[in-house]
Amino acid sequence: MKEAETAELFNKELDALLQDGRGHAFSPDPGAMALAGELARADFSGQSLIKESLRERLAGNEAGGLLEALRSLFSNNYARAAITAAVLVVAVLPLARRHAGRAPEITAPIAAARLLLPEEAAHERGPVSRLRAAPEPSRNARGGGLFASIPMARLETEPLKDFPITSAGSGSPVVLAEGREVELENGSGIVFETEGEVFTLERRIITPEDIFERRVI
Amino acid sequence: MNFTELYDRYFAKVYNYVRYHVRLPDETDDVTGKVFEAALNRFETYDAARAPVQAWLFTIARNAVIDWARARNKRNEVSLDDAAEQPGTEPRAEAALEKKEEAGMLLEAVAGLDERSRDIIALKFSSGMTNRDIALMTGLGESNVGIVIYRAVKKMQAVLEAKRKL
Repeated sequence: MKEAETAELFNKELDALLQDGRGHAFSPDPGAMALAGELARADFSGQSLIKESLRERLAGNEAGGLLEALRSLFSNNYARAAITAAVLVVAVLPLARRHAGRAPEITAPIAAARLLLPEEAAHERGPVSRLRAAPEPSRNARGGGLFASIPMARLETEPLKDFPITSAGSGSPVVLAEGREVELENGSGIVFETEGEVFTLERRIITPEDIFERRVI
Repeated sequence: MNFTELYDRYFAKVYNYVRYHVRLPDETDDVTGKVFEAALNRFETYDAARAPVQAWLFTIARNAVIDWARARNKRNEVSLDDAAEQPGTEPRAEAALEKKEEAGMLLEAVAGLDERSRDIIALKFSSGMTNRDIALMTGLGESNVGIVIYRAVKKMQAVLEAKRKL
């Protein structure tokens, strides 16, 4: 057998050995294949003293590389302007949303003007048009005049719960007793009893007079 | 694959490849460290469409070994025969010592090859690359790579058999 043919056969068997790790009988030269097996199994990496430390250092550099990439990004004027604009948008967006949420509060005094001075308001073009432009008050607001109750879920009691505060002294944890539903004039409520106090959580329709004193200018 | 995964998967292979060339454990650590530092620096620019990650990494390793050999020649250092595995002074289990001696003999046998054969043997047995991949990397023909491997193994076999008879 020529050397080229022997080498080809040897390499075929060597590839199979490297792939599946099993030894094959290389008939022309079993000793050569045995040595190839030794070389394939040889692993000197256990003698490395830097394997772990190098890994940690490179992992650190990898993170540092991200910072470096950000730094180089900021060195570009266009990128810097775009990023600054994006940051401003992100910062201003919550403020804009907050103002949008305040819109009903702004319309309330205008509605109050209509309630308190209906005749005068009707004769004045400007304020009337402004009043018309204001959002329509809800059905509750129309029924209750100036103030409308905020839609609330029905009051319900819940099982006993341990209050997540323990007393500093010798007392036992504060326990909130189960609420007791009661009927009230113009509404309902839940009476809660704690160790030292009894209080009532009420839900009832109120009039402006319950809260404010009306004065005529 | 991120860089840490690449490191975990290929550290041992690259270390073994470098060790076949460098032989000295401390210097092998240095060169291997340089290989992975260079790989990290170029990792962002690595294009998987151009070459498998193994070929890319071992190209870096080959260059690092070439740089190390040039630097060693400039320093005019002593032969690597001095780097033969020295038996440890601590008491060791006989099997472990034997294993270390075997490893030392293998390294010596590889070191006895000419530079091209050593490089091909190191690539073949540490990276597990195919002869075609090695041919692409070294610029040789695929069948030529096969013949170099076969001849190198035969030469090492003769050297080792002679040593074991002693």
